[in-house]
Amino acid sequence: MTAEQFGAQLGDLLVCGGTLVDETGEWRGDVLVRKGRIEAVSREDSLTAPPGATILDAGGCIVSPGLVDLHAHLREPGGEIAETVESGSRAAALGGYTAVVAMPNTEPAIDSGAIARDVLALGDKALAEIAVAGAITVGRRGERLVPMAELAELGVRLFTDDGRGVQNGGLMRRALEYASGLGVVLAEHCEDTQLAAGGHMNEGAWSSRLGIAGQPALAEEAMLARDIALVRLTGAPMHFLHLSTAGSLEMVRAAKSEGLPVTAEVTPHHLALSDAAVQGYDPVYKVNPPLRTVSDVLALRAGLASGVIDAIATDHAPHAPERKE
Amino acid sequence: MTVPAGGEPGGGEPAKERHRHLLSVSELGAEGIEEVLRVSDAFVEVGRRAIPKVPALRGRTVATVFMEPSTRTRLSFETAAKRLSADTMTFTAATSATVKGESLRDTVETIDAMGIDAMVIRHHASGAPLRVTDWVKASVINAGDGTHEHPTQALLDCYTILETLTKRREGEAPADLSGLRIAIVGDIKHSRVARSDVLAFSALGAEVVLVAPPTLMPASLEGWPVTATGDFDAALGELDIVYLLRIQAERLGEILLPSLDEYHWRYGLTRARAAALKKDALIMHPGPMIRGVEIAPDVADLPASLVTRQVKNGVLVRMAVLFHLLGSGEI
Repeated sequence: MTAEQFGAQLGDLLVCGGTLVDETGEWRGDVLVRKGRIEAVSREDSLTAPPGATILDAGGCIVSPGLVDLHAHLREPGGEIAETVESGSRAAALGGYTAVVAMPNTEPAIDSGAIARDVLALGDKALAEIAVAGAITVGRRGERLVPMAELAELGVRLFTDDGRGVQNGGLMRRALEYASGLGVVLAEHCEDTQLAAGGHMNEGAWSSRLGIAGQPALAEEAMLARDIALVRLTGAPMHFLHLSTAGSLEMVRAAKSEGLPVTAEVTPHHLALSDAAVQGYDPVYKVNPPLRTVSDVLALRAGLASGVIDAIATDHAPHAPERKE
Repeated sequence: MTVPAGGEPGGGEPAKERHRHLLSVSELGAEGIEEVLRVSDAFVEVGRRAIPKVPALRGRTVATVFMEPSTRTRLSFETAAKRLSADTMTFTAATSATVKGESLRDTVETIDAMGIDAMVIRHHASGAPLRVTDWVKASVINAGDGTHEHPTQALLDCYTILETLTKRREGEAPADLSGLRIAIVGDIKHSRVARSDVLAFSALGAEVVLVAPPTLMPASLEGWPVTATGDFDAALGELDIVYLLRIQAERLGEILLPSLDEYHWRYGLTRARAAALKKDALIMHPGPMIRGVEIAPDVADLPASLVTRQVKNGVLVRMAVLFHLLGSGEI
């Protein structure tokens, strides 16, 4: 449905009394929507509702442009027990998100035109705009490239093997070269699986004490360093998913000041929680990348404030409760 | 917004109801350890009786839930429970619904629903017994969780050391382990015994040295009351007790060791190393012992070796733990 069709169905709408937020700050004001378009926004005063308009009292609510989630797992196809495009879009809308990137680590992976078309079609009926990301390699196995041009033709703009990093540096180089000129961006889940060594949490004082196999910060940083060098070599843009360490942040800062076309995101949980949260062994705190140390958390917050981090992305990744216990 | 740091790594586990469960040595503290050891001592006399049994836990039921193969610890707990006249139930992963895909939660809730008083849990995942305390009404006893802790092993180790020192001093029991230098040698990184022993030995005043190649040391020793070294030979002459850990062959595949022979050469307690120890130094091992890897075949049988005492005392200390958690009044 287009915004015009939706607007015609909705009629006029006055959203009043909310706290308006955009990149310029926050203020109290009203928003008037007519025919699916924002017609007026007031600052610290009120708008008058046109006759017949629906009036929505937004007192105590935040009114903002629709949020965009660069990173969500909608689990379709293959993981419908945990989430579907439809249920994920409902969750997104409830949280104020109007556009969501659906990650391709589904079963099967989004690695062909046929599967991408299926998910795009599901997106058409969803409550938020769904941008479909494609895998970089067939089956996310890190061996052969997906038909990137065909997927780009269908509207896929982001490619990633998310859930797993591309371990083969030679392959990642060719992927970046091949992607050049297609108008697409490759995104990396930075994790060297050999260095990560199957660790379930951040390697450090807490993992040692709790007797849980650790995953060192280096597992993320080593792959990030390689990828930044590949961006320098190929000139292709790259986006770094869910960065979690102070060292990663410093590398992205340096890459940006060098003028390399890189962007980076961080998740809300890596901004809010440290690896101390794992001490009760509650598996809800078992996430990948793992929760890091307090000093990593503070560095990420500073990086977000300074603009080194471009976006907060949720990494919304539903698992059925029985799979977590 | 501040980061909820949740305390420091050295600060111990979150406080659960004290003395209802036994999950970690850290929740006992020196006082709790000493209390368990005192009760263990009281059970020595019971062991000497013609019928080595007391009615202390008559009518109580103790279930052993072993999700990882282990015979000695399970038998030790079951013997302890039987000597206290408790009824026992055994659940082992190999013969149970676990192989049919039942979750740990469903398994322990089912066993709990049968009306038991204590559940003794061995599990391959660190933290599993702590999770179980949220799901069951029974007292939970950690009989070894992953690479986290094995508190009753540490208690029986402390008991064995104190028992041996008492004998040496012709019956005069030392107050604690202060003045002793204890080396724990081997795969510290993956050892639940080491984690519990470090806490118990240091709580009782001993000085603990960890000895291992860097690949078998924990990534961080922040907050651990220990010193660490990779040079076993340099440490030998100062030690009162050498506590050896088992080396598992799978560490070779994980590229943590080049070979078991090389381990034996650098860290095995050979005849020569045993001879370089102080004259009255003691040798301990939690079992199962691999002769020829962490210990030379004949060294394991020297009079200095307390390995058999450790096994024997395991029953006493586990009786004390069960009594401590479930019993009331007189023994």
